[in-house]
Amino acid sequence: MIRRIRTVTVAVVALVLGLTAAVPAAAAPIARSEEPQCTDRANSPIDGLVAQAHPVVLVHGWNGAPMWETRRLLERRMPTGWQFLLFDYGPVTNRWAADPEISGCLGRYLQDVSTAHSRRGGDGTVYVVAHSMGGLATRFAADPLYGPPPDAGSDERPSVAGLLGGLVTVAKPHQGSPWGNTGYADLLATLVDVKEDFWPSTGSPAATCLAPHVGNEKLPAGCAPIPYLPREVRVDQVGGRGTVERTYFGFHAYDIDLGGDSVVPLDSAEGYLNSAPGGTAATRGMSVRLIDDRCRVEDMGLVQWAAQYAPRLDAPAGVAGPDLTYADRLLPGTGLAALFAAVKRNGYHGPVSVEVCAVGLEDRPPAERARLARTLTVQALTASP
Amino acid sequence: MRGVVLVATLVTVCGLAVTYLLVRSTGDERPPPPAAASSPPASSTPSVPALTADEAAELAAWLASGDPERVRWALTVPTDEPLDRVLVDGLAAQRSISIDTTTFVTSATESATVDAVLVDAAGISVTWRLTLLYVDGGWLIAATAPVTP
Repeated sequence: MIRRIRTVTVAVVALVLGLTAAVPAAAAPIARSEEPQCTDRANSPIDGLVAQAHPVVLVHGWNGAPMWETRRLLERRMPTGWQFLLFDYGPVTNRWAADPEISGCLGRYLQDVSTAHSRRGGDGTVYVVAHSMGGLATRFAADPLYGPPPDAGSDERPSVAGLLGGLVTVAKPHQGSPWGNTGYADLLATLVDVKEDFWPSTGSPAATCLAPHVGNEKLPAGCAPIPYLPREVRVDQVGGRGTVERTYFGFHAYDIDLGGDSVVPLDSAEGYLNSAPGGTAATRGMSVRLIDDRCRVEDMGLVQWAAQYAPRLDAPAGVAGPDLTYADRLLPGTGLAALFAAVKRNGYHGPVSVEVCAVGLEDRPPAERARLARTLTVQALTASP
Repeated sequence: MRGVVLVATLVTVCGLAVTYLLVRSTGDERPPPPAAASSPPASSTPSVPALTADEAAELAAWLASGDPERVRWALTVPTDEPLDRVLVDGLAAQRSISIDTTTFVTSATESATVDAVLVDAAGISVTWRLTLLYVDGGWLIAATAPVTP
């Protein structure tokens, strides 16, 4: 499903970029002061830019990685006229998009790209394609308050927005995600820290600030409100909506509408015009376009597998289906260990779910829950079938 | 790795959500199977009965009934989810539906697989592997997949 969505999304992005008009913009001179720490990033080098091709910066989402695969697919579809560059904020992914090491570094990178393009005879216009929180980072980067710091000898912060030819947002949570500011988001943030061997977890402002919000609803305390882009910057919003088709014996039975891509609801992905908490009104004359990226999956194997077994992987021995409740759930391998073995014997090597809501876990901090779940999952998966 | 974590989490969330939708209720109107008089007792070595020939025939009859409610009795479908007539009519149009209990294999305490053969009006037979879940004292069909020869 992920691959299908990515493929369709790339096609949509390619179409959008192809239709977007270039807007000349002047590049600001680069002199540095109070620079945010932007090292340790896997950003694309910019020394290969040419005048004849528009630079497009791909910005990944929260917990994402540089969009290598998306770039590869876009380059295949659009071999000329565009140059795709990657911006990376992985080392600080758990911070809110307004953090100087995200929005400031992104703004500075966009500046550098624009300058390099101008120096090679191009118009310096930069396009951005941003996935999920990357779109929020772009909105912050384009705001003088959150973009790169003033150049040396100047009190004014540079205008990144003036460099932008357009922003394409893909599954961007303009209005947050139902998972934002929840235990699930905290756990995911913690798992990232686990991978990075950051113990204990430092917490995640991103997980908190991705909370749902519509219109004037305020974000949680400490979360900078998301600014709009200047109306001159065209915004194209790509939202995904998945539907699982349930079939039996090859006949369609019913559909399960995911209402979005299962993380970002469609209303949020296409909710730019009603997405600035704190009372900021959208500017009249904004150019905004909505694009639905619909995906139908027929009995998706993974979901089907999860649907069949997920509630039982964590079931304690002796509790049958009708008696099984969330309160009965156990950590992997501590309940029906035999099922793990059977699944492995049958050749299943895909993802498995990790229970994090088991009895006795709710009072433990996310880091401890994550560590325990990880340990037991690894034990269960590596045990001999 | 970060992508894997995200995808795994998404799959978990998605899977649990779908699971909830699928199994939150599964046929309140279904007549109680013989074993449903009481919940299975909690023990360290739980067991569920094998699918009997009578139960298999009953499942097949429900599938072929042409009645959406009866078809629902055989499946793990939420009660408030309307079934597509395509499924009901398609199954009713089969010349025969037979579930071969000799192929019944329990793959876990509360799940099993069994093969079924559907013969359509043209006489073409297709073998399907049914994934069964033991719910409310009886076996229900959770998923079907064609068996490739």
